[in-house]
Amino acid sequence: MTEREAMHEDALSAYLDGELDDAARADVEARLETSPEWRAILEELRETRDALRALPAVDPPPELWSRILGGDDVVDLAAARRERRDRRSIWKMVAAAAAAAIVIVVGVAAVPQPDKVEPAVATYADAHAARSSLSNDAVSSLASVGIPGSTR
Amino acid sequence: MNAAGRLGRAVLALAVLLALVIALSGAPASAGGDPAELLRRAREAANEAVLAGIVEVRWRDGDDLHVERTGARSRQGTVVVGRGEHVAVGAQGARWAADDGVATRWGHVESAPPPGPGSSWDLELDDPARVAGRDAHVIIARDDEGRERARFFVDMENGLLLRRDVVDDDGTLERSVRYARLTADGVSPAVPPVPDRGKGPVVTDDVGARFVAPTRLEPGFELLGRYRHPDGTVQLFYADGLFSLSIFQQPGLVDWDALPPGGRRVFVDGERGSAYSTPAGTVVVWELDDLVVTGVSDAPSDVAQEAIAALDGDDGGPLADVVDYVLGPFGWE
Amino acid sequence: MADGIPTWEEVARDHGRFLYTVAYRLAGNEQDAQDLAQEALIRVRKGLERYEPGSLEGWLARIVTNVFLDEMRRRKRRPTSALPDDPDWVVPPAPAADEASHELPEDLQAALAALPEEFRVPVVLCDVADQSYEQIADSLDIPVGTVRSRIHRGRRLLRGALTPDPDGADPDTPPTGLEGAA
Repeated sequence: MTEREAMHEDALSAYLDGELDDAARADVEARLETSPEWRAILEELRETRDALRALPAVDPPPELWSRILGGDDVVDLAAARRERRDRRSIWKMVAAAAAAAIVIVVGVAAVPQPDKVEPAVATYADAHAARSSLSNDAVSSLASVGIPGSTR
Repeated sequence: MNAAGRLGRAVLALAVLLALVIALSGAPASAGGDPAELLRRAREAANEAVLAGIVEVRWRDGDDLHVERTGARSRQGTVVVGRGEHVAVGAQGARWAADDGVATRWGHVESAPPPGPGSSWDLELDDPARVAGRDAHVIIARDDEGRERARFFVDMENGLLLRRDVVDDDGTLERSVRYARLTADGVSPAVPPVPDRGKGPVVTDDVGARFVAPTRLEPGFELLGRYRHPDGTVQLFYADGLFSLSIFQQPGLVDWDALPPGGRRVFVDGERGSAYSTPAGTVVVWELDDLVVTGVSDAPSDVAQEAIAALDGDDGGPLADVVDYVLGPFGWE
Repeated sequence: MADGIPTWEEVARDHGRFLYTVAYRLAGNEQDAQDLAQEALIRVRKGLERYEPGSLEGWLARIVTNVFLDEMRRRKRRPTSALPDDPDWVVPPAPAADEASHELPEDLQAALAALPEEFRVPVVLCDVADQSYEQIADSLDIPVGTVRSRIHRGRRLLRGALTPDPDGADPDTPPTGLEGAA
């Protein structure tokens, strides 16, 4: 450690936090003996540090954990959600496949193909926000209109 | 004093004691009052307030939580949200929204009143909190299974809705709209009147044979209005007391390649669909016979998807029940 | 717990208080702390697969810090200045810090919340999360010397002994133009 670093005031914090090696610690202690200013700063730092360390732990509101963990039942929520989602989509796929199979058996009549359209997703989101604002709090309903983006 | 007199005094003393006990225990557990009433009043509070603020919207898209901010002010009965090319102005029954140079105007809109806030959800008052430096009542909305699905923060002083959180079925925050900053002490910049330009939807009683318009979409959404947009799209507007849902229908098939990027593949009632998470809510695009259906809702995404899927009328029917029974609790993989 | 890797529920149960305390001291208010803690737990859930057994609380503190810093970066990109075209709307100024008081502030939490986050984060990590300078340097991706100087300045700022000086020199950033200085 260079002499410049040893003389820098922030060595006192490192000293207080036990972050200095033996040589550096000796340098700081030597300086403390001769400098009342450094002694004063050290006391002030000690008081501040002690006060910070004495700040009590903060308990989260119980609602926070039950919200996240879903109550007393310990469940791997991510897995449960995956499982639910997979089951839902699987049986719907099977139902659709079964329905399609019936159609194939019966025969498909020639029907004119409807046009392909591109739904104006962003415009619809705005239209919903505007109509919603007539029955609900206007500001929170319209907030999305005020946010630029590709899909609002 | 004779026995009757003593008895009379005892009864009186007892009555006084009883009245005191009733008075003390009759104090409401929380001084906020009725949560449904707080929410009902919060629907209108911004229209009459004088306020200026910064509004922050957070929405979850997969694992990412997006955050964006915009401005809002209200004065003389007019509300303005946004700025520049993305702004909405509203007063009474009229709305005007400009989006990248295209303006849409809603004229006076007649519709049935929305359901009460507690119609589909169980509401309860939680401990107060602070939002944007202001004290707020907190109302929790729970579903049938008792899970907390939404939180509403209502200003104690002026009744404004300060914040609204929506939570998915795992308890994770899905969307939140809140004031990051708010001044509501009577100082607000001037607001423009609602512009009278722009084409917009008109109210319609009969959507026509091509489209469907069920009066109710489970769970809990009631049809409040039917509208036809200038390009022929039909919009149905539903509400369940806390959340709202719009169904847009146009004839045709979805041009899947032309949809905006970022959509998640979903199955809606057995049909392929594409779902987006946006600041306005969950958006689902799917095909129903030869109709392109777009659903937009600020309800929790699973509720929104369920309601959108209910458009088809049947929940899958007996075939689905059989399939469900066969697959049962085993699942796949 | 298998292989020294805790389950997500164990983390939430046994270290939830620690995680929330760090979040609260960083954020300065309950609402932000709750959001912070919830986001942090989501990242914990994802990160547990890759977690190498070591200092669990150090790892948790690091995650909370990252979520906090991400949020600070987001907020910086969206300044809460006055709306455009609205010269009338003036954001009320922050309470003036003219009088330097060298007393320990009565409301230490409030003083902590008022510290600029470049100082608040290292101070909280050191004195609330009990991290070593090296752990903090790792979490924030800055040199140990910078950690030291920021903790020191942060502690002194809490007393009002210093005013935040954006040009304050870090010992590891040599002043330009001085080569071969003794």
